[in-house]
Amino acid sequence: MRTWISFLLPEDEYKEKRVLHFLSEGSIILLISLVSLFISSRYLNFFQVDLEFALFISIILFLGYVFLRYILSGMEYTDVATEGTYKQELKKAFRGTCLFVGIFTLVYLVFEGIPSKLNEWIETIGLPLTCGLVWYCFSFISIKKSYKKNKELL
Amino acid sequence: MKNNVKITRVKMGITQQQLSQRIGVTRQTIGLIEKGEYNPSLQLCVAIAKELNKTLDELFWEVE
Repeated sequence: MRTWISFLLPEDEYKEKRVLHFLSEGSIILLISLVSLFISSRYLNFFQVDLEFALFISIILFLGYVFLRYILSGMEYTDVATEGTYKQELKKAFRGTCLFVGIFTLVYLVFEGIPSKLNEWIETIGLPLTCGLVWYCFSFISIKKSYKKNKELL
Repeated sequence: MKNNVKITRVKMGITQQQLSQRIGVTRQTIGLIEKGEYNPSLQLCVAIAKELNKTLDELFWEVE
């Protein structure tokens, strides 16, 4: 079945079905949160939320939910089923993270300029390092979950 | 849904990876089908049956 969302979905049948489930679940949660925000802003005077904040929370809620469900489902790395491929994938994720931190730092330096003080250097390197650490953590969880799931299916 | 996919595949000496590549799905999907944890579409059932030279009945019909 082809829909306009097909370009966002994986080719594999099982993955496609699961991703559609995650998107549907995320949409229902988003709908509930939007209805709650609407009711609270209209009828509850003591609970008023800024429009910008409400929109931001809604976007994060939807994207965060779909992303976390995908990561925790263990279907991102479908071929990681042995100890060897598991370690290889971890190394690849580490190299990818290092590359990301390097490029992020360079782009940051290009736009913000080269820092002159120590605390400015810490700020410049701190942000890419934190993002890289978070990225690696998610990759690690995804690889570990995929490995565990695939090992059971051999 | 239980099925005979794993038994047939092993008898033919094909790995999960090889079967998955031939029918255009991931190895994980083949593993899930073999374990009965995912019910494939009719289209995928037919593709598996063709690749393993079996009928749909032989692979998927009422396995004990």
